[in-house]
Amino acid sequence: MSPPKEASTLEITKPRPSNYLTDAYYSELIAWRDEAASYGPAPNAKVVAECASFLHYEARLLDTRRFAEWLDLFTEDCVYWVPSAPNADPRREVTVSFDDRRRMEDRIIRFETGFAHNQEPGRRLRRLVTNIEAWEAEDGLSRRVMANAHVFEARDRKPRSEFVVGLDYWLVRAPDDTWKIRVKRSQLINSQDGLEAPTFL
Amino acid sequence: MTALSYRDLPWDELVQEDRVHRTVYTDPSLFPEEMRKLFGGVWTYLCHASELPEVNSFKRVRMGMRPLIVTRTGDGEYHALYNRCAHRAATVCQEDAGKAKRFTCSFHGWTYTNDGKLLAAAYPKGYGEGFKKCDHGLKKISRVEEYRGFIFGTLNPDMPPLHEYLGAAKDYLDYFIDRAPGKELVVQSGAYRGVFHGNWKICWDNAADGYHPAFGHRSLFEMTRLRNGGDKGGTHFSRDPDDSPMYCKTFPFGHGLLYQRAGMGDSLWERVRPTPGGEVLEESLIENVGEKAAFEALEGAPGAGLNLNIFPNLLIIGNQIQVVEPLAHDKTQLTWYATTLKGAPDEVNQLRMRIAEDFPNFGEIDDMESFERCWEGLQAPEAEWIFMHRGLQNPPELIEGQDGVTKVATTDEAPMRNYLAYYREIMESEVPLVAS
Repeated sequence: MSPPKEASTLEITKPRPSNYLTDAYYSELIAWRDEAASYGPAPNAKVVAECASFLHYEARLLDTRRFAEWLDLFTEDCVYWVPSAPNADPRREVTVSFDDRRRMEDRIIRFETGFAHNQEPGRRLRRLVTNIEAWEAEDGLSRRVMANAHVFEARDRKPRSEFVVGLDYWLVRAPDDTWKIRVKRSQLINSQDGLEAPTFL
Repeated sequence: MTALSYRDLPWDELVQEDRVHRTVYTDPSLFPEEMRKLFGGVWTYLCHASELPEVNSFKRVRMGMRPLIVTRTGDGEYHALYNRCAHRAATVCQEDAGKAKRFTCSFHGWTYTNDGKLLAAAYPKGYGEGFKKCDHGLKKISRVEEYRGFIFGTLNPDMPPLHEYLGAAKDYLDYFIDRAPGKELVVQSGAYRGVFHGNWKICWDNAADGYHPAFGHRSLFEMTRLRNGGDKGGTHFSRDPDDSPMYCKTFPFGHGLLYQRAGMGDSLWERVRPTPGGEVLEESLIENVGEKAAFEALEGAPGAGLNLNIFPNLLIIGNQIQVVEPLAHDKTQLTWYATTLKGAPDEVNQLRMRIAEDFPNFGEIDDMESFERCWEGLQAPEAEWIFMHRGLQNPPELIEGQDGVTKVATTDEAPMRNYLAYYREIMESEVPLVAS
């Protein structure tokens, strides 16, 4: 079986300046992360169902390597955050990744250069997303979604990689009433162990 | 005849001047010997003093396969204790790091002080009268020494003192540390860990390899060119690196250097790829200290432009400390400790985190892929040799006043030849290993 071709190509543009990762942004992010512990059961089955649909769609875009469309799910001021130590402050500790939108674009463009050796032969990705819970803010403008994911990456002649991840999303309502991801935090259960270069978690 | 085990050939045939035999990488029976005799028979990096910031701090590490606890006691001494109960071998410390005056074995309750003495064995009368606590302390690494915060250990009484072992390689370690306004490095910012399926020496072969970047890291360079153009990132490798002011050096005891800095122009900060939050932190710094001081300080954020390899397990790369941690003959972990600079503005130290995440995510992943491809290729028994003769025809430049130090072209494989020659010297000799 030949590896799947990239299903989408990101238009290569000069990166826009990145002006939003301010100290206030980091502080807000940490407060948001720590708030999770105070959440009870998800109260609204309709919100959960809508978010499940959103997460399943996001998973499908990643699994079929439609990275440009995946990126479209994110806001302009987004962060893709894979912590190393679970409770560290990313201002003071290194993470597995702490990408702003510009660096997310960089990753996708690297995949598409044709010289990304660790993506050749092409990886086949599938992820199971489950245990989905979701809460909507009172003003209806943001949602928090938590879920679990089991991510598989298969490659010819290589051992299959597996990652078990706790997912945490900060969604915001866009002007057209769709939802965009402001923050995606993917907490590996073994983030302190050596990683086999995951594609996207 | 094809040699199938390293034991089929004498060491002077396994490691020659220009080539090394595949079994030195692939033979599983060599690995325990390396972990015993090499990691412990030479000065092996353990951890950084700033990871033990207070009296009674400890950190768990390994020396080869030996589980250790490095501790700091009230007298300011560092101890490297075997994390192994003197009774039935269970580990006595499960935490990665923390503070403790004592370690108690959870199996039968034996309790030790943090300098390794047995404080109490439970129900002592069961041992009779001849039992002496002083005979049953935790074993310790007999020699622990520090250079500017870098703590090393060895079991070998014949090793010269650490400063002599580091020799002239110290100058480059000093350069890395002295980028800090406070002249100290701080290692308290977590780590990124990667793992590859292959022998640890494949990584070491690459550690001062100025030949591979244009090819191995082509995706990163191409992405950077498409996105940023100009002189960002690794453009100093885009033309023949031997025509640039960059160079490599070799040092006694297997240490090596790839000095990229010489080919990277005046400003490291100008060359750094766009970094998450970079603009915000640059602006904030200019506002706080003015443009001149800000740009001076920002020079401390990116990597230092050197790959300094202290044999057998410490690599200085980017703005980080990489520790090579062999897990098995065919599996290796690379731990990248993020570092900050004492006395640098917060903005600079914060930038160091985001810059530290760049290369492991965009560069090292392709290196690890190359390492795994080498590992797959090495499984062919009849293709017996790995070659490392690039540059061998050129007489190396000797450095006046520095015995045994050579300077060679950027793509010369001298650093690989140099560490393997020392590796052979250790592996083929009787090395005294004394734990206290």
